[in-house]
Amino acid sequence: MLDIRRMRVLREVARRGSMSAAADALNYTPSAVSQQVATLEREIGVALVERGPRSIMLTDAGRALADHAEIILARLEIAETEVREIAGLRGGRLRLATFRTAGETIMARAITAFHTQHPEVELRLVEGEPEDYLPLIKSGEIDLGLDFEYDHLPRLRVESSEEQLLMEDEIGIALPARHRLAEQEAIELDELAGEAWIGSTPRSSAHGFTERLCAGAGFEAQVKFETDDYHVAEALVATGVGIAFLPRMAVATAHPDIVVRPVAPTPPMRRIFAVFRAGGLRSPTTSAMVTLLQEISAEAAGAADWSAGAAPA
Amino acid sequence: MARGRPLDLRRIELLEHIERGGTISAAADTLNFTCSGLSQQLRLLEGELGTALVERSPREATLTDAGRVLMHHAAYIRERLELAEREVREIAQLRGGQLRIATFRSVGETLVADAVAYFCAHWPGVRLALRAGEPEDYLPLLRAGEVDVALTFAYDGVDSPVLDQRLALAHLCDDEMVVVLPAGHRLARYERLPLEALRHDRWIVSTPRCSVQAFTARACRAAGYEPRVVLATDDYRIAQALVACGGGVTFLPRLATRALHAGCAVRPLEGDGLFRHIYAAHRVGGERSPALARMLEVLREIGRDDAPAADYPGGIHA
Repeated sequence: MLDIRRMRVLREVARRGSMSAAADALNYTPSAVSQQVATLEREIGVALVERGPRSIMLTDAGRALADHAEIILARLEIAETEVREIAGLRGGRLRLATFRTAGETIMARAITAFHTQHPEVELRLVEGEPEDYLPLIKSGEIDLGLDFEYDHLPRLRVESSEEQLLMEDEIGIALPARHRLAEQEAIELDELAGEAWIGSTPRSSAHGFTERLCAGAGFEAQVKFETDDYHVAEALVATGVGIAFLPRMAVATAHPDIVVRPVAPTPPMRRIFAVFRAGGLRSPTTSAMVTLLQEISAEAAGAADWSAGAAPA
Repeated sequence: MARGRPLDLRRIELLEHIERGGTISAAADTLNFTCSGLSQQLRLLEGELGTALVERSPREATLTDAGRVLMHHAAYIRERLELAEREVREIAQLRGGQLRIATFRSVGETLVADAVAYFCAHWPGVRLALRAGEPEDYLPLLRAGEVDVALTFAYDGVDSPVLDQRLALAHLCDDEMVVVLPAGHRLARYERLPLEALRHDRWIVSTPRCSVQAFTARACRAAGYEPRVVLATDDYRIAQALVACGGGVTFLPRLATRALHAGCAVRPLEGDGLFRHIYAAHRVGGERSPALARMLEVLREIGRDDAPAADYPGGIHA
């Protein structure tokens, strides 16, 4: 195996065009540089530099090796930087991904708190659907992503990841404010047979939740509209074209012309998880963020009520 | 400023063995280390980075996040190192790499073409790049490292070989200067020509930029007359065509007459002859590159074979 430190010497000779300039840059003596290059030449069995009277020029082999040395040394520096980032929060980076309702609530608050505590860590956030961004955990493009799991629905598992349950988020029913059942404290599902529904698109892992739940209550849901955007769903509910299941987390930011009522007798739930790289909690940034998310989620779960527009305390 | 010393890859690679072995002692076994030796190497690396890379317990050793990140990068780096080594060894064994040649035209069509053909047949892995021009154009490229070997020449009595302490010259051959006559010229029946006999002929020469003009003037003056120049061209094929249609006579180096116009005859001068000396120039130290060293050998060999193989196209006693 070629010696990386000697390759670094060659790289400096290539960059600076002379043994003595390379020696200055490396804090070596010129003869030490010359010797290192000669050793590398012996190891690999071919001349790497043309030793001319006034200047040093690389041979074809020397140029090829110096090009590789650039790439290899850059990679080694990246490795070192990444390790130092993991070792301390200073200068670290945390790449987050969230779905919409959590992004507007627990994630927004967690980011604010994290930034206050660790202003030197660079935060990045993408919003999307878990099935799109969770696979990026494995490839290392994101460090932490939020996921949800609805009652009765299967959940996609992501390879090489770990997770932490953050909270249980109760699912209520969103009705237009003038709906016949809007005044009721809680609603039993069989009271909703015959309603038009707004459900999730097949892309979402919440797809089928409306159908399953209504089937469990003994009727077939008439899903007239499909959207994965809660705000669109709420607007459709407000105009009276249909009703929809809505997680309690979304209520705080809900449309003013709708009401959300809990389901009786057994409220359906979704669970919210933080998902991260296996072993990710050993990274101080990831672990600090997971802790914050747990604290904030616990507060949110405890404090929220069903009044639309009421921000959790 | 260059950054500090790079990390020691061999130490980083210990991580992979620990990950695979699951314990320090298993890793130490496969590495032929003692447990304490391995632990010490690890501690040095951890100290350098200021963070734990391995979580050790009596029953297992697992990599920390930092350790795993480092291990993944090390795998990439090792692949790249192997690739580098392979590539350089191929260059060493003349199975890879490239050689950049610059030549002037008459030699490019003959000696260099033969050398390139021979080289390609024997070492097809080496990429050859050929540039044609005039030495004054490409010698600066040789000095600058953009060309590896450059063909150059010196005409008897006109110029001396390029002198530059950074350049070395390998003598390849002495290319005899011959007179190109129309095939039906009154003197074509002579095997060798006395230059005095051409005192009344019209001469075709090169432009002042090329040495043939000065060479012709010097040679004719030495023979006792001033040549009557009717035309200057640097294109020796055009010069031959002009000779063939009776436009005059011209001096050309023999290598420039290898592909001779059918209407021309070629005759050397009486006596010891006059020559254009051909050299391969390269940077001092450039011959340390195996491809260049081999190309110089091939050029010398072909140069040796080429010069004496002087038959006289155009026919003698035609």
